[in-house]
Amino acid sequence: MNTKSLLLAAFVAAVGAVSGSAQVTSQNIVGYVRLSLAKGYNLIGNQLNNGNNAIGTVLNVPDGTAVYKFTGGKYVANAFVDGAWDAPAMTLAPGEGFFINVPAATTITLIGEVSLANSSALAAGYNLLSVPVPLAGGLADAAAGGLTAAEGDVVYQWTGSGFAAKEFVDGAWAPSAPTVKVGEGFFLKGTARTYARNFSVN
Amino acid sequence: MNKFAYLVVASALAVSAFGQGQIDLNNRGLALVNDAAGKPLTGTTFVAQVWYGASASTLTSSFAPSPFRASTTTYPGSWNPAAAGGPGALGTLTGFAGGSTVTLQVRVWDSSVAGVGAAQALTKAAGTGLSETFTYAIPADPLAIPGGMGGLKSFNLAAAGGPVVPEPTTIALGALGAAALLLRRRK
Repeated sequence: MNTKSLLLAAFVAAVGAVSGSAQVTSQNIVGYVRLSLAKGYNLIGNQLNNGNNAIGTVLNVPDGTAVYKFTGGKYVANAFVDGAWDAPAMTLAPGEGFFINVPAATTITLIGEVSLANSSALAAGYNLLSVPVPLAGGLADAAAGGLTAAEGDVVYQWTGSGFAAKEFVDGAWAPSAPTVKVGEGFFLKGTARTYARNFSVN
Repeated sequence: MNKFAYLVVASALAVSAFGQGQIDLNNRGLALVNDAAGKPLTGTTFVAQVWYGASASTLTSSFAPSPFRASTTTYPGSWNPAAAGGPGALGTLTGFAGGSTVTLQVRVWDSSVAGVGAAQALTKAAGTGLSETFTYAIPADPLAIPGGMGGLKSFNLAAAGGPVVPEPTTIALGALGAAALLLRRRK
């Protein structure tokens, strides 16, 4: 999966609301992530917030595409057939991972705003996730994935035909620390807890 | 087996998706259902119902019927389990855990025809359809994406006025007539 991302640091350093000596500044970082999908199953995530994140506003895909989310230990499917999604209310929010099965190789572009404050409640067992911000690097690195690993965690990454597993045992990742690409989804098997990944321009 | 070897084995697991006894009820992109003339079936009054059990003789469980797609569809011959009233694209096979094998059969009929349903499809009544039985091995891997209809073979609806099985009285009358003809020739 080739990935190109551009954070149009459209730092709209807007709102210079000056009140006496107090100044409030908001920072909006908008941009896009372009993902090349292989024919068949791809495990990805939407890392930009477009507002409601409804599937039809997040994905522009060919007819015959199917999306699979994983909730409560089971998959939920949604297909784009005859020009419409079976379940148009499904959302693909930053931090969620999902399988996408495309009938032919294609490129999709995800557009939106970087979500600065992100917190996901992880269930005990399997969770299908993505890093909620478009950053590549070590999943457990503070500057990238920002996941605080817990003893016994196992990360499953899609290879195109199966999963590669990496586990956190005795305080270390084996066989190696997992790294993620921009737009990549992954399974995390672990204990119930919160995965918080906040982002600051600074 | 050391830890690294275990991980290598784990990573080699082909994921046909998480088990949990789930099944993908779609036949889109797989074998089709055709009308009696062999044309892929369309029309939302037609429905397909997936039956399942441990063997071909115990197909006692079923999902809600799924309507076929409209005539304008890109996928004629396929039903839509995600449509309103359908069972949803992915169903749970009650009583079948990941790693087990389930036997399946599809029954098709026109829901707009009064008195016609799965029972009539089972007898291959005119205008209904009945697939051959086939099996689905539920993935033991809980991360595997469910399959299901991969073993389905395309089939046609039974034609109206198709094979007619004569009733016993009809057969008896025919035999009597033939006997009478033979007797008359001998005379």
